[in-house]
Amino acid sequence: MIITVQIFLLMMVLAGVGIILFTRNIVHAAYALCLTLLGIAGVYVLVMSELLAVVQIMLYAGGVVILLAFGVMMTNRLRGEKVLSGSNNKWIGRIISVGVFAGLCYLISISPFQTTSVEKNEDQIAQIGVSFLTDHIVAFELIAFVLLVALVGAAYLAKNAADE
Amino acid sequence: MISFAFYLAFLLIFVVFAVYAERKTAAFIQNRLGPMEVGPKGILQTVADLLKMLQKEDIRASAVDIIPYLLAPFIVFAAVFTGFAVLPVNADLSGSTITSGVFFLLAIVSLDVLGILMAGWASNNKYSLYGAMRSVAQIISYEVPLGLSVLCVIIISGTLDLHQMSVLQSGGILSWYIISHPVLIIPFFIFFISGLAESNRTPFDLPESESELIGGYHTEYSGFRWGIFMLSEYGMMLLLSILASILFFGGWNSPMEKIANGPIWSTFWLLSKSLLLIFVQMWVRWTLPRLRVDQLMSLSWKYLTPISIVMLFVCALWKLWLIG
Repeated sequence: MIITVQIFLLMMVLAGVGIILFTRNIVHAAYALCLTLLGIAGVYVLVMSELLAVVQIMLYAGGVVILLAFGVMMTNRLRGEKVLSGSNNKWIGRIISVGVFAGLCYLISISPFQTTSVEKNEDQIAQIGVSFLTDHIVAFELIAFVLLVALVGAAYLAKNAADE
Repeated sequence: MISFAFYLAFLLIFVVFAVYAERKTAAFIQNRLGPMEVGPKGILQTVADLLKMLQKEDIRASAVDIIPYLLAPFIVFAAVFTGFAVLPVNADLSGSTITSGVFFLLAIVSLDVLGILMAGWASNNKYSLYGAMRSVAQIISYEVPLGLSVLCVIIISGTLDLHQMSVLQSGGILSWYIISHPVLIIPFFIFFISGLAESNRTPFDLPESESELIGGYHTEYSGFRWGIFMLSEYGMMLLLSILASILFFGGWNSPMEKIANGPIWSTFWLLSKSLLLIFVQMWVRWTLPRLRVDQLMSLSWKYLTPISIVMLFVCALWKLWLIG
């Protein structure tokens, strides 16, 4: 059962990545990105970190992709022509991406990741909440502050656009 | 798994009768008779409509973006229906027992926006795109008060699991959250209003307003694919009504403490509470006119969101001082 799910998730992620690589239509690429992110959320469920999976669905698959799609569609409407992504500097791009891939592989191979499976933890959410408000309180408050600044900034920009 | 299969069958039967109920409710509110010809009192009218719809030719405009166009209805339905996975049916059938229950539900249901956006975009039609844009703006805006009002209940109950939440409310009508914790009355109304907006129902049906947009994001769809969009809209109504009855009205608990508590009775209680809320949704639909776009946005951002943030604070104080 679990191997079937693993194969399905692998196909989902690879199909998404493949579409992003080879399509020239940006909207299709945005949806393929969503497919990949959902597949990764499935992988999180398989390794028993369920909350992380839900956060992945909510923030990445939901939020980011919608913003991306919005941006793409708005620019398309303004120019009145199809947005097709071209490909320039092919060889430099290939060299950089192979370099980044090799670097990441090296870093992952030397990192001390835990490779044994963990038991399902019932109190995961409570533990994360408690550690947010005790050990990581500064980071938590800083994120809240940054988000507030972003919200005020967005409201200000929208107001200016409406006045003109 | 069993609860999922139960809800799939129930949803399909529910849609047939909900469309009939909707038309009859509309007719009585407008002092008409409504469907009367097919079957006794017209009760088989929707079945006839369904048969007609399934036989329709599958019409596609030639300039649609074909793959997203064909996929979109199924993405919308899959996103809405996945939400049913965590709903309990009765005391013995609990649905998926993931610990992040209601959080998962809200996250996965918000993905139906992707399908709507895909439908509007791929149709290659300005009315469809207008409808999709309105729908996305509306659903994303109203998710904020919806999530905050659910958070009020989570503060009081201390769990995200919907089955656990129902268990905590057992013991007659006085233990239901909306009665035992009156501070939740305002969050319930916010939840209900945001739920109407989330399922694109009147007075928030701007995405599909027939008089302006000819049906919005599903203008270019016909036959079976259009039917899937309707199925997901009614599915969303049912999902949010069941969620409301679990969060505020005791879920599958009977109103009397010792009476009518068996598995069939508790299923009956859960579904009858939800169907009552759906009747209220239909009643609202035929009573209130549609909002303008700016009114829609100011209702969400200037009224519902600040009120729900204040209610979140009040609920936290209530939990701290009165429950401990």
